[in-house]
Order: sequence, then C-alpha cells, then structure tokens
Amino acid sequence: MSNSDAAGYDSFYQSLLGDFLGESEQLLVALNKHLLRLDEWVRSPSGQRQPSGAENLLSEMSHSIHSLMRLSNMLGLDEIEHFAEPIEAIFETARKNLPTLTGNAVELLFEAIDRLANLIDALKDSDVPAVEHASVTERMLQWLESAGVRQTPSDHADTERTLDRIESQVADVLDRMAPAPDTPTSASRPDISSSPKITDSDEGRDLCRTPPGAEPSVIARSGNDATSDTTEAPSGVAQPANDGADDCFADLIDEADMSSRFISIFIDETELALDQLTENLLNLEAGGAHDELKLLLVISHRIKGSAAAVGLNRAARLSHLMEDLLQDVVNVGKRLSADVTDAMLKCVDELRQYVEGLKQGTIPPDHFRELAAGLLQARQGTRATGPGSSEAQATRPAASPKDHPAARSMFEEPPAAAGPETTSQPAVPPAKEVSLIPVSEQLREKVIATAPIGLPVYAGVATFQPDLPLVSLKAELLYEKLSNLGDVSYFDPPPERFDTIEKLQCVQFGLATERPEQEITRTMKTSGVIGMVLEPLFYGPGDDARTSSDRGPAAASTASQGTASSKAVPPAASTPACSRDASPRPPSAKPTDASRPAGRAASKPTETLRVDIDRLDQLMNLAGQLVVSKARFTQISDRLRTIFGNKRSVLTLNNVLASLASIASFEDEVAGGQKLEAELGAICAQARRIQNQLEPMQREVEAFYQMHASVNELEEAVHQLERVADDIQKNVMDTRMVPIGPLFTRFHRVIRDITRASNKSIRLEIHGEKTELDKRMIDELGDPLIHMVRNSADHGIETPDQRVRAGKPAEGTITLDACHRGNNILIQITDDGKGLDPNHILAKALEQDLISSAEAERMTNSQIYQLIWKPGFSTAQKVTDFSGRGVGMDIVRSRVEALNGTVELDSTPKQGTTITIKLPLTLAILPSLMVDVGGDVFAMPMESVAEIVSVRSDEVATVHGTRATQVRGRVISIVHFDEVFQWNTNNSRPADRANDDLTLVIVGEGDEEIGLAVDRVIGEEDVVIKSMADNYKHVPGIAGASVLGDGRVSLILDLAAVIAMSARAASGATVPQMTPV
Amino acid sequence: MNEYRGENPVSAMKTRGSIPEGRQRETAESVQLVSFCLGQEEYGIEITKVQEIILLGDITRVPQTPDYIKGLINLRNMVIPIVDLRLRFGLPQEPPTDETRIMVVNVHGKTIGIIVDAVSEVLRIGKDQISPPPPTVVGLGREYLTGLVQLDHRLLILLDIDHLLTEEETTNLDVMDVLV
Repeated sequence: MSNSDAAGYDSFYQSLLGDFLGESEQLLVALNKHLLRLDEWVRSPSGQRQPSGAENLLSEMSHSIHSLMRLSNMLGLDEIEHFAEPIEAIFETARKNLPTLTGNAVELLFEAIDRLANLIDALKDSDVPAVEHASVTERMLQWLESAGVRQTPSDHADTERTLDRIESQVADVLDRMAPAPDTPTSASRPDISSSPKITDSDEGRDLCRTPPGAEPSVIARSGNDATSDTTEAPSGVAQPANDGADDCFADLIDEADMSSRFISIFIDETELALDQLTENLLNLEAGGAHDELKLLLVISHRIKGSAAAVGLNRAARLSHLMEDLLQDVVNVGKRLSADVTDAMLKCVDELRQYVEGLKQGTIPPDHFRELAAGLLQARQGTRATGPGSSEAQATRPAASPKDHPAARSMFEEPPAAAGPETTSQPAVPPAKEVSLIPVSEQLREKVIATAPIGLPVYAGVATFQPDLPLVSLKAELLYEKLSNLGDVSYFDPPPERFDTIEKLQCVQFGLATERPEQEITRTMKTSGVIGMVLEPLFYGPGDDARTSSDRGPAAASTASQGTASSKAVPPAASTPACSRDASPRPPSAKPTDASRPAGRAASKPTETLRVDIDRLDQLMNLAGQLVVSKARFTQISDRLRTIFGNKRSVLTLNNVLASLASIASFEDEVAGGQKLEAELGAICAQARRIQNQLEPMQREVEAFYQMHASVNELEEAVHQLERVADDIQKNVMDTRMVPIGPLFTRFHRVIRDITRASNKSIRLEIHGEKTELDKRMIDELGDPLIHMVRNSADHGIETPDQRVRAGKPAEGTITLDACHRGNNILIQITDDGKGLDPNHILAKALEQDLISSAEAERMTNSQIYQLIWKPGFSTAQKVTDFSGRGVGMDIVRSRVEALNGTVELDSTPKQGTTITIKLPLTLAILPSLMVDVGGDVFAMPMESVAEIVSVRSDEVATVHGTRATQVRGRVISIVHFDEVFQWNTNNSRPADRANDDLTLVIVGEGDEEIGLAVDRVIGEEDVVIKSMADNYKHVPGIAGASVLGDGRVSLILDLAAVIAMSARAASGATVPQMTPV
Repeated sequence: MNEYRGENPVSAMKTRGSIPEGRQRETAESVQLVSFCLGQEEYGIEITKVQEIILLGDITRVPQTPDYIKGLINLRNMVIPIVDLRLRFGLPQEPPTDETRIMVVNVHGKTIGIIVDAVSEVLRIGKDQISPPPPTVVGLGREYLTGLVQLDHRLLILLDIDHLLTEEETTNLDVMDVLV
C-alpha cells in the first residue's frame, strides 16, 4: 500500500500513524543513544575497546532500525522504509566487519538518523517541506559499496529486504488480481506443484502466494523476527526464557516479572485493538471492503507486538496465529468465511478476558491452546480453498528453479536430481552465503528408515545463523522442542554429540507426530534459526517418498490432521538414535499450567488511556472556567454574608412594635376628658393600625433573616466547590505533566556535535530530569534550550588550552538543571566557561548601533549583560555552524516569554555563565495580580511582579524628565498606563482611587524595574488565559485576555513588553500612532 | 468588582433576528439575508455569516487598537473583539440605544462582533434581485459593497463582511509591525 492508498484508512490510519510516531520516537531515541555510545567506542583508543561492546550496540541499533522499517512498511511509509534500508545494512555490515567502522561511518550514521528523524517528523506536519535525503542515501550506498558488501548480499537482512519488496509487489499484484469474493472454490484447487514443501515461513501465509524467489525471505525473517521480538521487549525480558519455552503454548510461559507499567500499556492498547478487531470483523462479515482485512491484519500484528514487548508470550502467540490466519485470507483474496470470523471472534473474546484478568493483577489461565486449534483449522480451511491454481501460477515469476546453485552447494549432500525440492528450490541470490538447506534425498531416506509406524512423518532441516554462538545449545533446544512434539526418529547431529559441537550449519531431523505442520514450524522458530524447511513425507516407512511430491498443502493438511494411516508399515530397523528418541514423549510435554505462576499476586497495574492532547487542552480550559466560576461564587457568598451579617433591623422593628403597643395601651390607662379621650382614642387606633401593618412585615423580616442559616450553608457549599475546583484543576494539570528528562537527554547529541566540530572537550551534566512540565511547554522549550546550550558550548566554554591556562580542567562542563520552585519551574543552563565580557559586549553593541555611546557610559555590568537579549546581537568573533548569527538570544527570550516565563542571565567573567528560565507550572492558568487602573481591570502575571509599594506624592521626584521614586535605595521610575498605552475609547468606568498616595506595582528585574502606577490592587487571582489572537490579533503589551469572575473580560499584561514600551516612551520615541483607517 | 454590570451574553434572538435552523439553507436562486441599520442606511449580510445577535454588553477596551475596535467581550467564555461598524465606516459615533445590537459573525474562522444601530429582519431574496453597485456610489465602504437590493420601498446594501473585516485585519497587521 502506498501513501495515497493509505489515505483511505481514514481515522484509523491516523491513529496507527500516531502509534507509529510514538513508537518511532522511542526507537530514534534509542538509536541516538546507542550511536553516541558507539561514537565513544570508535573514538576510544583501539587497544582499549572491546569488540563485543560495539557488536552489541550495532545489533541493538540494527533491531531498532529494523522495527522501524517493519512499522513503516506496515503503514506503507515507503520513503522511510527505503531510507532505513541502507542504514540497517550499514549496521549489519559494521557488525560483521568491525574494522570498517570508522568515525566517518558513525558520522554518516548520525546524519542518516537525523534525516530519518526529519522524515518521521515530516509526517506529523504535512506543511513541512519534503525532507531531502537522497544525498545521504547516496553516501550510505557508497559507503556500503566501499565496504564491499553492496554487491554481496550475504547480509541476510539485505536479501530479506529485496525479497520483501518482491513479496509486497506480488501481494499487490495479487490484490489487484484478487478474484471476486465469491469465486467458486472449485476453481481454486491448490496447485500441487506450487508448494510441495511446507516451509517454515514465519507467517506461513506466504506459502500460497509467494513466488519461489520470495520464500527465503520469509524464512529468513522468521529467525529475525524471533530475535527482534525479544529484544524489543523492554526491561530486558529474559531471552532464554523465551527461547526455552517456545512449544506452541505447551510450555510457553508469560514473563513472570513484568513491569506493571508496561502491562498497563498493554492492557490499554490491547483493549482498544480488540474493540477495533471486533468491529472490523463484524463489518467484514456484513460485507465490508477488502481493505478492512488489512486493517485486521495490522491490528492483530499490533496486539502481537505489544504482547511480546511486555513478555506476554502466550497472548503474543495467539495473536500471531490470528495474524497468520488473516494473512492467508488476504493472500487468498477471499472474503472472510464464517469459520474464520468465528474463530477470530472467539480469540478476541478470550483475549479480552485475558486482559480483564491482567487488570485484576493476575495472569489468568487461558484457553489459547484450544483457540489456536480452531484458528489452525480455519486456516487450513482457507488454504484448502485457497489460491486458484491459475492465480498462483500467474503470479509466479518465471524464475528458473536452478537459478541459484549456491544454495545447493551449501548442502552437504548432492541434491536430488529431480523431485519436489527442485521446483521449490529457493531462489536465493547467487552469492548468498546463508541460505536454507533443503531436505536432501539422503535425509529423506534416513527418516523413512527410522520412522515409527502409523504417524505422519516429517523430514526437516533447520538452518542456523552463520557463526551463531552456542550453537550446540540451540541444537539441543531444538531437539527438546521436537521431542515435545512427537517422536524424533532422526536427529543430526546426534544428541550425544551436542557437547562437542562448535560449529553447526543446520540440524536435520525426522519427526513423527500428529501435530499439524504449522505447529512444528512455529515451535522451531527460535532465535538463531534463520529458517527451516519441513517436508511432510508420509504416514510411515514404506510409502513412496516420491508421492510426497504429489501432495500439495491439501495433502499436508490431511496428514497433519492426524488421520491414521492405513498404510501402517512394520517398523524399520531402528538406529541408536531412534531407539532412544522414539521413547514416549517426556512428561514435561504439558508443564504449562504447573510452571506458570497461577494467579500472580503482583501489584495491580494502573490502567492508562491515550488521550488526544487537544482534548486535554479543552479539559484544562474547562477546569480554568470552573476556577473562574468558583471565584464568582465566592464573591456572591461573601456579599450575601455581609447583607445578612447583622440583625439590627429585626431588633429595631421589634422595638418599634413594642412602642406602638405601649401607645395603643394608653387608651385603657388614661381616662379623662371626652375630647382628649377621643383624640387619644384616634391616636391609639392609628397606632394599632400601624402595629397591625407592621406585624406581617416583622414576620417577613424575620423569615428573611432566617435565611442567614441558608447563607451559611451556601458558604459551606461554595467552600466545597472551591476545593473540588482546585482539585480538578490540579489533577488536570497533573495529567499534562511529563518529565523533562527526554528533552534534556537530547542535548548529549548537541554537545557531541559541537565538541567534534570545535575541538573542545565538553561534558554535559543533567540534573532534575524527573522534573515534570506541561507537555506543551516541553514541546516549546526544545528550540530555546538548544540555542542556549549551543551558545554556552560555542561561546562560553574555552578551548582546552585556554582552560588549562586559566587553571581550569581541560574538560568544560555544561549543566542542565530543572527543579520546582513554588509555582514555578526553574531550568538552568550553567557553563564553567569564560563568562561574558562586558567590554566586549559593549563594543559590539555600539558597533551594531544597538545603543548610543552616551548610554554605554552609564550602563552597569548587569545592564550590559541584558544587551545580549537584543535582536541582532552577537558577540561571536566568527559565525560557526552552531551559533553566532545573532538570532538566538532574542528568540530565546521571546519564546520563553510566550510561555509566560522569564529568562535571566548571570555571568561571572572567567567563571562561567548561568541562564535561568523561570516558567509557570502550566500554560493555561496564570496566577496574576489583579489591579484596577482608571476603571480597567488588568491582570499582571505574578511571575513578573516584584513588589507592591505605596508612595506618598511628596516622595516622587523627577529624573531626566521622568517621574521616579526611591524604594529601599533603588530608584524606580514611575510609569502610568496612559503613558504606555493609547486608548481610543474613553473610559466608561470611574477611577477607583483610594487616596492621593500612589500605589506602584514594581515589575521587572534588576535594572529594568519600573513601577506601574495603579489605582487599586484588587488581589491575586488565577486567571485563565484566552488568546486574543484567536479572534483578533496580537496587541503589543497585552499577553491575552481572561474572563473575570463576573464574566467581564480583563486584559493580561505582557509586562516585558510594557517595560520595553515604557522605555521607548521615556526615551522620547513616541509610540506609533494608529494609522486611521 | 461587583460595581460592574455583567456582560449579557443572552441572545437577543427573540427579536426579529431570530434565525430558525432550517431556514439557513440557501438555494441557488435565493439567498437569505440579515438586514440591519446603520445611520440612515440599511445593510444586509448573508445569514450564513451571522452566528447570533446579542445585546450590547460590557466591552473591555483594548489599547493600541484603531478606534473602531471597541474592545473585547466574553461570549460564553470566548473572548471576541467588537468592531463598531459606524466608526469603521467613518460615521459619527452615537450613544447606544435600546435598538443597538452586536451581530456576532464568523469570518475566516474568526468570531467577531459588530455593533450595528439595529437589526431589522431576516429576509429571503432572489439572486436576480441583486443588482451590482452603481459606479457612482463612492465613499463609505464603497469597496465592501457587493450589490444593491431594491425592496418595495427601500434599498438594501449588501455588505461583503469577509472583505470588510479582513481588510481591517491586514491594516492592523501593518500597524502591529510598526509597533513591535
């Protein structure tokens, strides 16, 4: 599939791509790490270096790059795959021939890996221009040629690739030729002569569609796969355990000590994959497109990969079988039959249960074995009805079977003149040193001679990797595995000679077993075995060996189903080997359940979930809103409390009522003159009326005040809300935190490049790599950090000579340090170099017209240092590849400030320079000081606020025409907002000025401090940053906007810009006027 | 901060500006317009551009902006800029009335509010009713006119709102370059 085809995969493809990016990133990190070590190795004096060290590194890297290739192949990323090919070839060549590994080669590799990283990066962003890599490829090929390997594809990986490509092309052809889904099965009788041999194709699928030329590739891959799968496994999964327990499930044991972290990743990935599998299966059953089959294949592969990576070998095996089955279906170009779907769905269910079990922290007992049988059956069904003969023949390239005699010459026995193997002769490229050794006539005879009665007999040859260490152990291992499968009637070399063997090309064996051949081939798949050829002979001695040539896969499958042979023949004379080997199966045949730790009481793994970072952003935003609403609630409840704060009116009302009551009672008490009495009566009646009217009012007021209790409740609820909101905010923030370590480790490479280019000797020290930062922040920090580290290395650290002369160790040190400080993250880049030279900077600044000479005279050292942040400033005597173009530091600063951070520089001549970056913990929420200026509410990032002072008006003096005041000995110039900002709208709100005293918020650092005059300080608040540029544009001096608790918008000040603008305003340069539109 | 009247994001769609979902579709022959008043003139913009119509609320002024940028408002937790179309067209500023509305429009992925004197109605007109602006029309927003619609007894000026607000963008970008 090409890239454009892959587009059809839509979102699923995207998610695969996401996986690929994640995985490839890790692989690249590993590659770089190993390459750095290899570099050290190459540069170390040849006397001291251990060849094994480099070999290990190279093989590690080879595996990494191979995994990368496989992944890119799976996704159809041809460009990356092809680019990676020569890299792998170089690794392989260098591993075999260490002397070819020179500094230049390593340099080339570095470059190649960089390009590879670029290529992969380009996937993330389609806007990135195409990465030029042809030149590097060219150079790599040249290197390979000069190393003399290009033309001799002895390197099996090389062949494998070539063949892989053929294979994939054939697959494409097949896809295109694929008959209509419901081709009558009669038309697809297996072509008998096409696959007379059961080869140990790792993915046995290739049997049906691979042209002869491709067979070895598959075979070769089997060995490779086994190794790479194990080495891919993190935390050093014990390889022997993997090898030793490879009997198809029988004694396949999951790794006992898996890290729960990896398991949780597995659980997470697999659950998703299983869901997708189910969905796709059902889609397909309902008549989905052929493409979905490929998806299924990819998903199965993914499950296999992640299971193998964490050491869940049993699950990996099952998914491998699933993959095989699917591959067959794909090859056959047929629809998914109901059998296959059923078998697959059962597996999915079982895997799901298995995963559920894992979640509980146990490795559950599984039924993979039974399922495997179902899968194999389904697979045979598929194959039997599989490739139409016409199809198989049509796609078979007309390669002459005798093209490659080399393969034969490897074989000890002369090849049979005719026979099945001639047609299936692997089309190995001519000079191939390593090839699979076919089953010879002699072997066949020997096997026939020794075979027991009544069982299907197989003759097989397993070929080892050339120069495989401990080959005898491998042979023994194979022997044991075979014994578990059935009766090993013949085994060469004989087991008693295992101890004395040092070099071994292959083992030949005869096996009588009822197990299907797939099982045998799978069992034999072991690291170190590059492949094997297995040939089903017949049911026992006496059968005509030649007849086997008439059997296609169909025949083989009948045999493997263990149909009792009617041609049971009396046992032949047993060889010594046979008499021993024909002994009954060792009791260890089914040690599975016993040896597997049942219900491991390991710690329960944490479940993880992959989340789109945009969603997290959104969540963060919402959490921020919650915090804002919380603030609003707090305000409301505060206000209510003051309203309900006292009960005076109730008391007053009571008093009034009492007075009225006493007035009303006058009438009774006072008896006197008629007139007076009448008047008094009227008054009293009036009073009574008032009293009556007041009474309901009193009740209402009392009821009103009873709400006081409710207010208290509200207050409590608000408190609760506050806590929850804070927790949510904190937790959401935590989810976005990632350690800074990986970012830091990138600098090993940077430093290395510089040391190589500049003859300096620099050591990089890293501290605090566990410090966690917001993911986005880490992404943004990369570039500025690289600038600064390069600057330190390039301009800071002196040459060894100079250093020694200055009394410093020849090796310079650059330290990267990260730590938490309250609500901030501090990142420090320290070097022990020559420090900044103020005079030099000054001279440069004058030269570059950044300052006037008058200014220069007044400047303090610390002020001078700040000049390096000016755009266009560079002190480098010469521009190097790494720095010195004068575009670095101001960009560093603006980048850091864009993250609401600050950057400071401190330098001591001759002792070094320290750059400190101070960043808020997160991007979305900004602790700010809220101030009221003429009715406008502004948020000032607390980060930049130094202090708040109140000065009396008589403390303000005028310096150079600007107003200033003294704060504890420092002269602070006073800046009013109106001097900095131009408003086009009159303020609608009145200033809320407390008194005549000036309230100054002192912002900035060192000599750039200014005192911003504000009318009122409202208090500290966490504000949620809203970008103004989203809907409008960037406004100088304004970092963004935020929504206040009351729903109003307030502006967040960009204090660094405000300081710069105020300086400009003070220096007489008028802030440019708006051009009227 | 309780002295401030909260910005009122409550949609004022209860007025004539009500835009039922289903009617937003425009056919090949006809187009739906929202018409609004500005000064003595009546304008129309395509209904698909209009997100909603809200009451004039509390606007936070922003420095360093041209005068027609009134500031920012909070529209359901989204901060959007407000353009005073009167000032944009060089008309004298008028104090807001009960009829004054903010039309929230979507232009080039940005959400912008424009202050208009009043929103009159939603109407459907045939495309053949639109005539090109006569070349004699000069002055205010001449370049932002896409056509004229003659209704029974009034004239509707079709406004190219994209163009209008994008132009404003670019001009501002120039200003910004000077400032930074």
